[in-house]
Amino acid sequence: MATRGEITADAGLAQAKTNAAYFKKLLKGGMPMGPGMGSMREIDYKGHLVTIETTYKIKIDGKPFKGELSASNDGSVHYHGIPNVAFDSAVQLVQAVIDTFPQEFGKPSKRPSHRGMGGMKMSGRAKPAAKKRSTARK
Amino acid sequence: MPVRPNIITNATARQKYVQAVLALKNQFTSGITTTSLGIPGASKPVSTWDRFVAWHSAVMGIAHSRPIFPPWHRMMLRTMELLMQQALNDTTFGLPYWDWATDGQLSHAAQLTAPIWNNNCMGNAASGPGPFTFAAFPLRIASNAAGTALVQVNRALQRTRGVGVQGIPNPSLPKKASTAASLGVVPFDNAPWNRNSTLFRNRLEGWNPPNDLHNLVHIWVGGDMLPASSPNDPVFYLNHCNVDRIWEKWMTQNGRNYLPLNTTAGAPAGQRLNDAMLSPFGASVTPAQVLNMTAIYSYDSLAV
Repeated sequence: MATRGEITADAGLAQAKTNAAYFKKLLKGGMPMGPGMGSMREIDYKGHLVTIETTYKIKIDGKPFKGELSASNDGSVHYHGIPNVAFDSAVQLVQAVIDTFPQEFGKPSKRPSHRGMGGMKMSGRAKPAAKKRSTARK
Repeated sequence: MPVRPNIITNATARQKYVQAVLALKNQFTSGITTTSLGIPGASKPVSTWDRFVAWHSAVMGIAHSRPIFPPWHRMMLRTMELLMQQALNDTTFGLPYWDWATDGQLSHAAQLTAPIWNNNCMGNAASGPGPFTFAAFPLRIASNAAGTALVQVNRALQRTRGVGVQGIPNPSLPKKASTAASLGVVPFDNAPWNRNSTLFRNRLEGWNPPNDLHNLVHIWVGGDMLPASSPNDPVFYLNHCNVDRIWEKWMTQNGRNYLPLNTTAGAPAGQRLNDAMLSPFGASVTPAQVLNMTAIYSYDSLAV
């Protein structure tokens, strides 16, 4: 087995074609996080096998958010779109999504009422749901 | 043999890096188009620089939060270094690194005005873009909000520098104490071989403790350094060159060891010592083959 790799670099067309199908498939496949990185956590505690499956259903201005969130063992939340951040909560994560990609969300939508307010009408412009503050962790 | 320099202390390297970035940004030799990469919209040629953005985005789930995070980025950086050497016609050119932990010792205000952000270096994006103006360095592809695809864009490079994200406001760059502490964490990695791992790789990447070292630099720079398309920003390579330098330092102290082995029970395929890492620019290599690059390049200093 070689112990040292002579990495090569060729920006030409022939080399580009070599693995083109592989990389296009990865890009078209939604750039998944790979097996084991989903929302299934599994630990062995005092000989007991514990599995924790977490799913998120998020809407922004009524539209489903297609980012796939996953939880780590420390409770932090992660998603592929901002891949280097461990968020304390899904709420913070979605706030960061809106901050980072404002062009994809446009102006906030108006809502006639706020869920959880017993149908009570709110006056003035409704704040986006994602702006709700929460200290709850996943 | 290239010696990779500190971009702050080596003015020649700084000038050559900027020159090489702009050369590859404007190099269209592959015939690769947005259509051939599956990016929606009108078909447009993709530059060599932007092909690295697509490459990194494609392997996000393979080369991050995983054992091959250091060796895969070593392959990516060496590939970039070789293409820059070709563009500069200089086989001695070495990728510069940003010793961000030195800046991390400064106050928050001083971090914002550190030399790396001078206009003869990386510039500070919106208010002082330095070499990377919209005219000279337009962004052409970037990740979408869901993180599921690349989309075409036509805008200037963006950084928020020191602002942070929700839950991590006004962060500092990583501290010297953090880099030093990482060197004593052995062995290289452990099950479950992902963000929940507790050893060196996961510490260097910045998951344990969370939002530190490599990850914290992405967060601190912000803007286009946040999504999977972060190689859009030339700072990306300066960050990862320093990550590679810390890994090299760790190996000089702790041995050129990597885990998992191909015989390790439960080790994920594609992440083991002798599993191939594919490149769109050349032959595949394995983690084993990039553990010792001392005959290929070196650093001007391993003081981290």
